[in-house]
Amino acid sequence: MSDNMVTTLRILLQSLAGTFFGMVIIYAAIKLLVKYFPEDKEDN
Amino acid sequence: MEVLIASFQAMTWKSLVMFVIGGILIYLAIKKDYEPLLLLPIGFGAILANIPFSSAISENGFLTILYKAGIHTELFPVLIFIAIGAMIDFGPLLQQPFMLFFGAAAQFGIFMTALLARGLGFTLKEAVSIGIIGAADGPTSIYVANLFAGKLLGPITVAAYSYMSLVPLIQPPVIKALTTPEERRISMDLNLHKVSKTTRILFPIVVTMVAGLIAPMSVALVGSLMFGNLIRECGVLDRLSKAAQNELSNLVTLLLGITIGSTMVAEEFLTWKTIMILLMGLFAFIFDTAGGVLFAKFLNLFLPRKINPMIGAAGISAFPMSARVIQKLAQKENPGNFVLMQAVGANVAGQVGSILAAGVLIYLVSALGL
Repeated sequence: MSDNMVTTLRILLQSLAGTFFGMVIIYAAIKLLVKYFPEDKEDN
Repeated sequence: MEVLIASFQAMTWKSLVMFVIGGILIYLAIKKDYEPLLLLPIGFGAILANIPFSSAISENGFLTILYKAGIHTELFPVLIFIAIGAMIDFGPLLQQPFMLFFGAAAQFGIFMTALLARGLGFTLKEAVSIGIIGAADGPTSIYVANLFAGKLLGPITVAAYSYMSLVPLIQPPVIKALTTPEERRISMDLNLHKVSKTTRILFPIVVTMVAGLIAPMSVALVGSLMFGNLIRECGVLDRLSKAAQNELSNLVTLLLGITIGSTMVAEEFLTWKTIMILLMGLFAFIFDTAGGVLFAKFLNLFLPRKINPMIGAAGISAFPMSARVIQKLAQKENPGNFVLMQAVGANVAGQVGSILAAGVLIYLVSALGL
């Protein structure tokens, strides 16, 4: 793969999409954690 | 006698300029309180590196040894992340996980800046390293620059830390230009639910696994950040948590700064590239802020309960400075408005977002095999 502007743009768009995708997964994971582990008795 | 004056004879105008630059960094650290923990050691390191025949950066000089052991191996940034992880309370983010998306949107500056750098003639690897200044996260900038553009490590680090300290000056005009007073007055929900200890403990483990599976190259950064956070939240390692927050953080910061300063050798630092990198760093922070604000405004088109768009700007990972700036701006428009918890949530999301973005970029660029 050559180092040109098109490659740069492709890499940057892929990484932007990858970052949002990762955040969506982490968002879903937090939602599940909060749902299945609500306030427990040990919390004061 | 000749031996005694050999150093003076070897001095060049470039060495003198580097002494002045080192002095300016020390001045900014002491007098202006701009990231003194980093800028002072960097400034002094720059002076040490530019004294002709300096034994500090000779083959077996102490700064050379520190560079090989701590920067070249990426050890220092990783250790700093353990300390940062131990300092961060992810509670506000766990209470409002929606803030994660601002942490992603505010990485917009990375992509715009990398594109600009590539357009200005930098190679893809250099452009990505410069773009990462927009992560607003010093250790991540150091990590990526060392991996892809070792020769640009000095200017990239100086730009990253300088602009982080200038967040209170950079963000307000950008936010004001993109929002109306009515938008800045939008209040946020103050009734946030409590987060259980189990959730706080599982969060760093889950994030490490998710981020690691999406971008394996981010494991060192995410893993160390989340390891620090696990130590903090587990409740049985208070001693280690305090050590990470204090002793580890202080010691590594001290060594990291002076070692980065030692890379600022005149012949490599005094180039047009350095000036361009410093300007592009500012560009990155402006676009980070704009990206976060515009993303929040975009979401407001669809949300029944509007979000204060300034919170989007807190998605950069300059923690906790950015959140404080947003709270101050909100109170300026409406003294009774309290958006700090949401801004802190977006701010810590920015920490996760910047590492994830860096990990994905490292993965994609490495896969090209350039």
